[in-house]
Amino acid sequence: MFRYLTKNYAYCDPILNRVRANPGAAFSWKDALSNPLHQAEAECMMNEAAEYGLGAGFAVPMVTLEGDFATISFGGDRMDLSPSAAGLIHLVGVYAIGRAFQLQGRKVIGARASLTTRELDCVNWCAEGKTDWEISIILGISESTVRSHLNAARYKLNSTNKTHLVAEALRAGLIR
Amino acid sequence: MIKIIPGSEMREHPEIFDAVFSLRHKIFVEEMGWSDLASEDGRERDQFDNEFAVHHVALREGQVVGYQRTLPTVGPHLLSDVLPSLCEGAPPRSAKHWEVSRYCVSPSVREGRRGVGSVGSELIAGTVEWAIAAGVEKLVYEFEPTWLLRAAQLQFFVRPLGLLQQIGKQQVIAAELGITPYTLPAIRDFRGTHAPVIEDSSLRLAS
Repeated sequence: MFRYLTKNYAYCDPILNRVRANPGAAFSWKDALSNPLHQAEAECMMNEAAEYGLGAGFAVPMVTLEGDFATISFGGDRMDLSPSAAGLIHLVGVYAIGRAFQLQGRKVIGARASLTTRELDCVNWCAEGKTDWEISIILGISESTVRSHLNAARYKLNSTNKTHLVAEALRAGLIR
Repeated sequence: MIKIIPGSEMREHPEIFDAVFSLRHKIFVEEMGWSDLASEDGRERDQFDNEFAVHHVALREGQVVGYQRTLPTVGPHLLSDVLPSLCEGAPPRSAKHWEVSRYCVSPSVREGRRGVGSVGSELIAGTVEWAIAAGVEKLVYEFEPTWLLRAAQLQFFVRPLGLLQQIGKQQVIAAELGITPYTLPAIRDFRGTHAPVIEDSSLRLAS
């Protein structure tokens, strides 16, 4: 692990690159090597892994609610997986990641992160009682841009008008 | 905002359902390539859009931007009638088990992110609110395995009903999602708002 981190292997790790490129399907490590991003480094890294007893393996990619990639890899000396065994390992992998999240105490954080900086700026000024026109002057953008930021914020916070928007933003802790 | 429309009232909302069947065709036939659902008029509907179905329509400014459908498992549904191989043993059938299918979000509101966006999460919040009001305790889904993780993140009690299988280009698993006391708070935390998503008048018709 220390070697992985110090040599910055996450950058050329063909497993991680493949997870990012195609998070839909589980795959064997062999498949990841067939078209790696950083060919030479990837092969070098995988050869080193084999020296540590991780010669072959199977990776299960997932995408969380928030859109983050997660993957778990099962590795060993050799691998001989039938399709039904592969399906089973895929399931075990999903549960393992879910359990890891639980143990980490990982909380779901979604909408809080999804109001853009500009949308937040507009909502904050709205909460100060500024009109769309005044906000456009303060932020140096057009009035119609202010309106679309506020519309987007209203959609995301499920609000019917500006008063409601400000109330929901306060309740959600997005503004004070 | 989610509008709940029982199958028996489908005829009272012709424009909504025209938009719903168009959206379903766009997503499931055109985007996902499920060509056996294709129809010449560009509207996707099947034998389960009957009087027992409950339609959940996500609306923004009067436009249909998302949709899903719930079906009672005591009657014919996808898992029992179309995809029985996904289930090891008999599929669960009870008044407390309802199946969710055709979950989709219009590309126009997708926010270009990989995770679950605002309309997608609104539909999920609606499912939980509806289930609690209707006395439904377990939701049956057939979906890609990444959703098992997402369901666990949302504090559902996740139980696979069979093994993962390849159907066309996708890996699919049938699962039973049990609603826990933590599920509704979890989806509301994720959405960053605790306001109910179901339109008030709809909920009275829910069960």
